[in-house]
Order: sequence, then C-alpha cells, then structure tokens
Amino acid sequence: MTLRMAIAGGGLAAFLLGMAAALAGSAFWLGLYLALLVGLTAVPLGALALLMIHQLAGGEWGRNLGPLLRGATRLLPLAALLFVPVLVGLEVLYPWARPGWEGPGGKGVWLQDWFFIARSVVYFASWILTAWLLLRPGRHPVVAGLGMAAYTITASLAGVDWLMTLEPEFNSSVFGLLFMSQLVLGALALLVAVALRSPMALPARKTLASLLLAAVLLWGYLAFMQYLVIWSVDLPHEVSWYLQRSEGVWALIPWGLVLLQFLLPLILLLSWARSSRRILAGVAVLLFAMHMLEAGWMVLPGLRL
Amino acid sequence: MSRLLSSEETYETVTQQVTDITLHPPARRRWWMLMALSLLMLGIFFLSTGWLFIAGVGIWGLNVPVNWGLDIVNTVWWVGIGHAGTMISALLLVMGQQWRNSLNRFAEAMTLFAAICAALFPILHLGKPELFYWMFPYPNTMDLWPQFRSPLVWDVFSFTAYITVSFLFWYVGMIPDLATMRDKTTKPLARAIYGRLALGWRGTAQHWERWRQAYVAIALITFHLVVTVHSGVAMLFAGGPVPGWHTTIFPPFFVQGAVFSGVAVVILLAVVLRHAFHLGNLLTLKHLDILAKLLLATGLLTAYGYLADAFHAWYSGDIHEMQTLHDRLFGRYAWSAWGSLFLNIVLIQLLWFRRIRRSVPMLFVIALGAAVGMWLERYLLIVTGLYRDFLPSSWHGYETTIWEWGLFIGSIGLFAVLFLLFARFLPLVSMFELKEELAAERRMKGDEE
Repeated sequence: MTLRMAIAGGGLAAFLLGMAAALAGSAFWLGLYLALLVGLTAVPLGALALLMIHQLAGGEWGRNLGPLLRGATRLLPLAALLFVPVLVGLEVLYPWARPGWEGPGGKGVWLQDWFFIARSVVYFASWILTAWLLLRPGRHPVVAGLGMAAYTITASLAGVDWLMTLEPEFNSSVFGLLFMSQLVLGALALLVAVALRSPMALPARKTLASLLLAAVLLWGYLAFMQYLVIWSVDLPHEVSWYLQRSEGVWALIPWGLVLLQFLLPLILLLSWARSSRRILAGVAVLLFAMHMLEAGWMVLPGLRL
Repeated sequence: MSRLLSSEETYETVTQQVTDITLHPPARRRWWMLMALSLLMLGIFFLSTGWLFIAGVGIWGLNVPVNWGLDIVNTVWWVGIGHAGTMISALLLVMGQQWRNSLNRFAEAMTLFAAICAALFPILHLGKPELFYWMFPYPNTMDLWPQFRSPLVWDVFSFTAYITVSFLFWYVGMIPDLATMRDKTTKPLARAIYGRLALGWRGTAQHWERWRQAYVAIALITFHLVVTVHSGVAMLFAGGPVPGWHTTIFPPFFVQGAVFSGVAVVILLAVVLRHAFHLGNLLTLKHLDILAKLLLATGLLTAYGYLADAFHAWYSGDIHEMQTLHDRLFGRYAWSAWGSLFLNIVLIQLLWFRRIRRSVPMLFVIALGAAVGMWLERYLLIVTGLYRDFLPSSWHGYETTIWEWGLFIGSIGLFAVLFLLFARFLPLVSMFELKEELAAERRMKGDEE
C-alpha cells in the first residue's frame, strides 16, 4: 500500500512540476522532465515487451520476473498521464511545433501538433489495451503474437516522435529499433535489481544474467551500427546529431556508455562474477543508472533553447 | 520440454538408420540422377567462369551507373542463406534447445557450401581474379595497403573468418560420428579414411570433455560471426552516400533477412532429405512446425525492415530518397519489389495456421517462395539503388546477360554437387546428439514415473 501511495504521490508531484515547466516555457526543465519520463516509461513499456516475449517463447525466467513484469505494466496509465505536460508544452521542446516552421515532404505532414498528440494517444491506448488483455489470468499467445507485431510499430514510432523529432533535420531508420532495445534494457535492469532482493537459486540468477547479457548485446549492436553507418557517410544533417552530443561535458557520456553500459557489464556477465548475487545486482543497478543517463544524453544536448 | 522423437527410437535404431544411408545407400538411382543434373549445372558454372577469364567482365551487363549486378546479388543471397545454419547450430546449442539436434549437421553443411558459393562472386567480379590476394594486408614491394576504412576490406576478413570457422564447427561437431562410421564400415579403404578423419576418437570421458569445450567455444565464435559478417555486407550499401542504400536500419535488417532466407532453405533441404532417405522419424513434423514458426517470425521482422525503410525515406522529404522509393515500387524493376513483397510478406502469413505449418507440400512451396523472394529483394536493393543516380545524365538501365544467369545457375550446381557428396559420404544427421536427446527424454520419463 505504501509503495502505491508513494508512486501516486510522486506521480502527482512530477505532473505538477512538468506542467509548471511547460507553462513557464522553460525548454531545459521540460527537456529534463521528458528525459526522466522517457527513461522511466521504459520500465512499464519494456516490461510489456518482455511479458509478450515470455508468453510466446516461454522460459524459466518468467517464474522470477513474471510478477514484477505484470506489476510494472500496470504503471502504463500513469506514464500516459505524465505525458500530458509534454504535449501541452510541445512548442517549448520541438522546433517543428513553433510558428513559421515548414518541413519538406513527409516531415510537413508527420510533424503537426494535432497529429503528434493523436499518435501519442493511440500509442498509449494500444499499449494499455494490450496490457489489459495480457494481464487477464491464463496464457494468451495470440494476443501476445499480434500485440508484439503492433508493439514493434507503435514503440518504434513513439521513439521517433518523442526523441528523434527533437531535431527535425535528423533521420535514422534504425532509431525505432534502437529505442526498443533501450526500453527492454532499462526495464530488465531495474526489474532484475528488484528481483534479486529476494533469495533466488543460482541457476535462476544465471538465467537473469543471460537475459541482461542479451539485452546489453542487442543495445550495443544497434547503437554501434547507427553510429558506424552515420560516421561512414559523414552527412552534415546526420553527424550533427552526434557532434552536438559530444561537445563539452556531454562528450563524457558516450564514452561512459561504451564502458559502463557495454564493456564492463559484458565482461562481468560473461565471467564467473555473474554467480555472485551482489555483483549481478550491482551490474543491474549500474545498467539502470546508465539507461537514465542515456535518456538525458539523447534529449538535453539537442534542445534548441 | 515436449518429446520430439517417438518412444520407439533407441540408440541402436538411430545409429543403424543414419549409418545405413552412407554404408548401404538406399536410393542410389535417385542420387545419381540428381548428381547428373547438378554436374550439368556445375558444367555451366565452369563454362561461365572460363569465358569470363578469357573475355573479362565486359560479358556481364554491368556498366555505369549499375556496377553491381547479379554477382553481388548472389553473394549477398548465398552468404545470407548460410547464416540460418550457423544460427540453428550455434545459437541453439548455446541456448540448450534440443530440437536442433536433428537439423544441425546438414544445416552446417549448407552454411559452409553456401559461404563458398558466396565468396566466389566478388573474386570473379574483380576483373583480374588471379590478383585477389591483393585485398589482404600483406607486406609487399609496392608498399600498398588495403583501405581499412572500407567495408570491402572488412568483408574480405569476415568471409575468410566465416568460411574457416564454419568448416571447423562442422568438422569438429562431426568427429564422434566419424568414429562411429569407422567402426561400422566393413570396407578397409572407407575404414582408413573415416579413421583418419576421426582423429583417433575413442570416446573416453576425457575425449568427450575436451571435445565439448572446443565445440562450445567454436559455437560462441561462429554465432558472433553471423551478426558481424552480414552487418559487414550491409555496410557495403549503407556505408556509401547512395539514396536507397544509405540507411541505418540496413545492418540489423540484413542480418535477420539473411536468417529468414536461410531458414527457408533449411526447410527445403529438410523436406527433400526426409523424403529421399525416409527420415520422417528423426526429422519429424514437430521439427518442421518449429522451423515454420521461425520462418514466420523472421519474415515479420523483414516486413518491419521494409516498413522502417520506406517510412524514413518518406519522412526524410529528400527528393532523391523519394525518387528511389518511387522507382522501386513503380519503376523499371518494379517486378522485383512486388515479387519480394508478395513472397516475403503476404505468402508467409499462411504460417499462422497450424494445419499449413504441418503440411509438407505447403511448407515446401512457402519456403521456396521465401528463398526466391529474398533473392528478388537483394536484386531490388542493389539494382534500383543504382540505375537512376544523382545525375540524370548518367541514368542507365541494367540488362542481365546470359553469362550472369549461367554463373548463378552454376553456383546452385556447385552447391548441389557439394551437398550431394556430403549426403552420400558423411553422416547426414548427428547421431550422438540425437542419442543424447533420447537419453534426456528417457531420464525425464523416468522422473515422471
């Protein structure tokens, strides 16, 4: 009960702060709000994906993570509510929402206030519906199969909408897939850390370690491929995304991500260290912290203040 | 875990059935007929390469701006097919999935032969194929190094590594079975050959322990090669400023498209082998059902790739991207776009139905469609990315010549000859891994009782 009240109280406080930032027109504060919100929304949203994957593929890990995944998915309506300040303050954050902006071709159609808001509503409605259908007792493989197909499209587009269009010149077709890998990594990191608070046998812990390893590898692969393709061709409207994110202190974060969201977890999760409950929990906490930092890094340096 | 094999199978019946295929070939005439056809196709291969060496690459339909044609289409297609074999063998081994045991041996053979076919085309494309070793960074009197920033060089490394490691994985995985062949055969020459290949395997606990370590270690290496090799192939396209080629989704999209086409070919081979050698009891309908689900899942990811690619081309608002998208769907080579959309996306939706997944003829048709569809997709990506360049003055079409088709048909012949030799002389199904599976199933049954 206390957890529920804490979440409700925190949610209300966050909502009010977000509204204040949106109405005051402060791009930095609303940007920080968006970064934290996207970082935390990864938990219910990534949990929904993991829940569907488990319904389709099965696996022992469902026994330990299942209740947490279900619990996390129930936070989706709260996340939807907390997006309202972002939608209210669209033109504070998104250059395309400001008067006088005109985009070429598809951008002009895609990037309109009412269309953006309608899409966000549809995304959340589809996720909440899928979650509601899945959380009924019993197994629902058909819901999970169709839900997963819909989810890959809605979650990809949500990533494109919320994060990529902060800089309307930028365009990367792997962005949606990369966003989904961030959702799964963020959710898995936090939920594994929570799950390890209760006692768990060694084989079950090793399975969780393998899941984390898979999520880290997937994220590392997609993030590096996006970078490599953009680096190779070196087009101004693409490399500027990375250049802006490596100016001044921001330059520390990509290196931090390489070391602490990829290399160190990779080594620890592949070695004997993963048998230790403490080290595994430490890796999970580190991954979640890096996930939040990455969300900030994706939003803040690109803002046009 | 549900049972895959019938409870009537024993260690003896598995060994007998698999060794009999080699030692007392059941379908000699059919094998020779297939071999004759494959040799004819291999003849076309030698004819096409022979004339190529004499006359040069001018006999192909390549010209500015379409400098990559059927040869690169075939490279990408063949190497992609190989990836499913590696994935089924290595990834599923590491994940402890038992159902791979009936499929892994011939899937690995498929990987190796497909990778060999793939590697031939870029070398033949060179114009001076005899100088292919210039692509390697060796100390030479000209003081020339390859351009290490180019995906072309990465591919030289990744293909070389892939063929080497795939061979090792296939061979090391076969050693215990080669020893069984040595012990079962009655002919002295065959015994000598199988004996040499089995490297003195005696099946001691120490042998098994060392073998296990080696096998799992190679599996981990091969698995990462699936991702890197095909991402390297994708970089050939995504790493250049060509509309329709330069897009960040290409590496993951190519990798899973590769697995999609490879699963299709594994299904084709499984259907043919279980029919030709009466392997229905080892390659069961349950195996085909799982493969069909895998085909559906990877096919849906292919559809995601198409959508993401088209959406971001449209979203970019870039006139060249838009023009390439338009050319692909309605231009001169639109048949390749609609063909691949139908075969890779529409047709496979039938696999949602269990009845179709378990109908061998339907599955064969759908898998054949996916293999053809992925070939069309590679054709689409390569040719339509090039034929209408930035400069309208250099727009020029591409007509595939008979020599390019000859080489393509010939490469299928090469694959078929290698595969038929493998099916005739080497253990087609992994006997010892099936026996391990039987043992595990017995233990489970014992636990239940």
